[in-house]
Amino acid sequence: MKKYYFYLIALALIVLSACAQKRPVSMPQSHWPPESVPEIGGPVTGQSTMPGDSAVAGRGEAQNPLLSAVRPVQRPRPKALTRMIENAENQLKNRQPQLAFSTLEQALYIDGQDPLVWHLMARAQLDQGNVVQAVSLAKKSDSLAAAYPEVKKKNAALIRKAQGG
Amino acid sequence: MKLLIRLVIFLLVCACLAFFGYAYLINHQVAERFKERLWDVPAKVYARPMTLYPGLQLSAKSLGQELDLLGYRRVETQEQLSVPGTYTRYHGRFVLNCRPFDFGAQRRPLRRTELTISGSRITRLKTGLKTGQRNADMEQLDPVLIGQFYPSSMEDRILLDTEDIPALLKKTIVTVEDKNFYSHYGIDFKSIFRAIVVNIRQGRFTQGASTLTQQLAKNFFLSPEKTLKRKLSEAFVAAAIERQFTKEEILEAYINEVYLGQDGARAIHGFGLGAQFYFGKSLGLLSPRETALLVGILKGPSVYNPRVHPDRAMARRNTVLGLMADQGLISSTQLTKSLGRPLGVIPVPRQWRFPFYLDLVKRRLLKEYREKDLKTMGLRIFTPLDPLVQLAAEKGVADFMAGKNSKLQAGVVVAAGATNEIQAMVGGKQPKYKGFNRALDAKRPIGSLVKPAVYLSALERPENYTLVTRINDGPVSLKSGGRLWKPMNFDKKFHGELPLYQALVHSYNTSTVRLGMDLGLDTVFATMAQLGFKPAAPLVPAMLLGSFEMTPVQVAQVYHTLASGGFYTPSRVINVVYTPDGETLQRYPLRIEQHLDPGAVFLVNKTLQAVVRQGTGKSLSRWLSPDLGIAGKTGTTNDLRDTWFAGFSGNRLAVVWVGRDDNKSTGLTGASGAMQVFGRIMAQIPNTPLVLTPPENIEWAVINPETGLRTNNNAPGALAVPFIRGSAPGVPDPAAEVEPPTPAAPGPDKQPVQKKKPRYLIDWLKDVFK
Repeated sequence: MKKYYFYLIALALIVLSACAQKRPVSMPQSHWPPESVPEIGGPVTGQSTMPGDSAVAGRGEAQNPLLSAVRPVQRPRPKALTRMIENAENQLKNRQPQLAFSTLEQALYIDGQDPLVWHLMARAQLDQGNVVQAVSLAKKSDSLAAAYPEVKKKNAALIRKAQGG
Repeated sequence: MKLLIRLVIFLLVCACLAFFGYAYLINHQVAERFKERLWDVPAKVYARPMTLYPGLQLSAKSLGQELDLLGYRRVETQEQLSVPGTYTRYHGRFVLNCRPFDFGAQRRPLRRTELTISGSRITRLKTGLKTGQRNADMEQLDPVLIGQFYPSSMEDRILLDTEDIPALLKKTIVTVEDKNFYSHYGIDFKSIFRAIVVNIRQGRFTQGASTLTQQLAKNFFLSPEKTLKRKLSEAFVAAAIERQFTKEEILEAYINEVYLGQDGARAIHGFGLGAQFYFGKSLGLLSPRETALLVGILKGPSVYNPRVHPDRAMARRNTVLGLMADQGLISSTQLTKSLGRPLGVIPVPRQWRFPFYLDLVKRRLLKEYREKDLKTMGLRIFTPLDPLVQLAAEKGVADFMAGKNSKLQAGVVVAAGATNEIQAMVGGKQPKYKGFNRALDAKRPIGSLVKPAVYLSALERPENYTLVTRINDGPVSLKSGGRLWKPMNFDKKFHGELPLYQALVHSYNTSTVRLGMDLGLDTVFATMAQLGFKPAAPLVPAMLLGSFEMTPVQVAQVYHTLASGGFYTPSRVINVVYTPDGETLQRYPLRIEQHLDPGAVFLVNKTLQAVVRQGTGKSLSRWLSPDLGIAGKTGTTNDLRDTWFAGFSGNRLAVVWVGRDDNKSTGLTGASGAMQVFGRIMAQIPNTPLVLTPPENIEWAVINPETGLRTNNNAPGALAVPFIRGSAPGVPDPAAEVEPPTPAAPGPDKQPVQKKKPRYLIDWLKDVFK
């Protein structure tokens, strides 16, 4: 008898589920734009550039920097930036957070979009007891860290620590 | 008789009392004077130091320009690289003899740096001592001195400590100016007697007998007139100085005090600055013949000015060299060698003038320092000004203005994308003359530059608005201030229903006003306040089209919040202030606050990229590659009075205003006016592509922009559109799944609705229970 009850309930659930609103997801949707479809603000063909324009970067490259960059790829890091990050990490270890922060401000001249730099700035502020700034900087780092899961973890831990969690 | 003797004794006692009383008074005054700071030293303002590293985008031309700004001299051979501040260049290969520099936090020594530039990037970098350089990850040049805040006396000097003063200089000064310096007590009676004899014999004043101490006393305490009273006072002061200070201290003060020449209104004082002014090097690096010339100039800085009277200066130098040899300070071989050598004086070092930027620096400093302190304490102020960007901005304005109406004016602000440090500022079309600083003070209506705030307010409400929400660009009329207000689009047309992003891309007015009114003025201007500017009440509908005033620097603050993904970062023009001793007086660190949802800001920034790619900013492609993905917005006000452009690349933001001081029509739009200046500026400076990283709460869907509904990847006109997570349209575009009509099929109006094949059991059940 129990067996029949089970089937009856299962059937009722299936029937009732049909009363739900129409399933919205029938097409692909993702955090990243589909590669084969043009984006809003994406490239427009047929636009000319000024000949001899020295500021034009990456012209003629097969890869479109806008499309490639919105996908989770890590940015190449120049050696100078790596060295600055190492210096800042050492300064943080040696309890020189103010000096580390200055080093990292310099690092932003080389790449202002590197989430690790922003994360370390957050650490430098937290080490100085500036909790609000530390959280803001960690959030800034997070907003740039789509391709850096490790940095995101560190930011989450820092924010927890800053907020006394 | 007795009375007479008594009178004489009384008078003598009185004279003695007066003498000792006066001596006591002077002694006290000298002690008090030396307790204070002895010299007014102007504050020095520096640009950012250029950081070199392999991979840095830098053309050989730009590096040459930076070195020129630094006053580095190009020499032909490596052998001539003996002097700091010189370099050789062969095509893209540079060898620099870098000057030492004290950055406060660190001291950079004298060193040699070699670098190769290829394809507008640094490909190789080596640095080290003269004897051997090693590959380096980075190198920092000394910063360009961009200005000074002078005391009213206009005296400029580089103060030296005893250890910075070469012994040869001290000995030469003593030899030439005061041979008995180490033996007299401030007044050299023997020399006075000799001078009197010589002057009487020659019947005119040819020889003086002032000691170094007397000269110092004269400069510090007394007026320059030649009276007996002043001479007597000078003697008292000199004696007091000798009583209170050692010979070494007196000589050090003398070396820092003396006048050595003139550079326009600036008076060159002290041997430290003298060495820089005439030879472009520090005192410690002067050769004996250069020391001889500098000491020789003392006798008459204008008479023996080596740039104006090289023959007189040469004769005077050789006289001093002779005296040096007589005293055994140099050998006879050195004397013979030196006599025939040229003076070796460099051209007058250029003083760079960036008055508009300095104006901003000074205003910020005056909030915390007294003007007197600023001009006299010898502070060292480090700013983020990038002189190459500044010159590019000035050139961009000048090139645009050439041949245009002479009444056109401009204001430009360029800031660093990551830090909002102001890198350049142009306050008018004559950037070398301080005048009305339009970048800071010209308050003008901003026109369409306000629109991103309206759309951002909408997109912050994803439950109501997405980029593809259909909005109405039909006619609109509103009662405002008792009058009927009927805004029009720039093209005098209405565009009906259209996706929200299109209204911003093409800067349509009526749809923006409708949207803004639906959202509420309070909502829109609360967003504007979060971006960094709160307009004064009362709020009126016309403000949705930018009928309120802002300065270019305020606009830059607002657009920076967009460029940094919703993180508000106060703009900075000073990084750090040091005392002359290298102590940090004040640091101005980067501060940020999250003001807006990064997801909504991302949507607006994507649309601002579309503005430049296909909207009102399309003609920017004349100057900048679309690959840079510049995001920007044009702005034009009523009757074409003001033209604006605000935009940003991956590493820089710039705001340009072009208009007239008399507020008459420019005949230009945002695109044909300010944007052309923006393009010219950005095309001259390194920019990185703007790559917007989607924040966590962004998802993408393929949309048919005509309907705003989902479609498949292959549908014509399909567009990848970002949404705040959960706000993408749920209903697919029915047309997307319709089979393409076959040739035999009837026309679209009679096309039978094809039965969709259920894809899931649940869809099948829905069909059954429909």
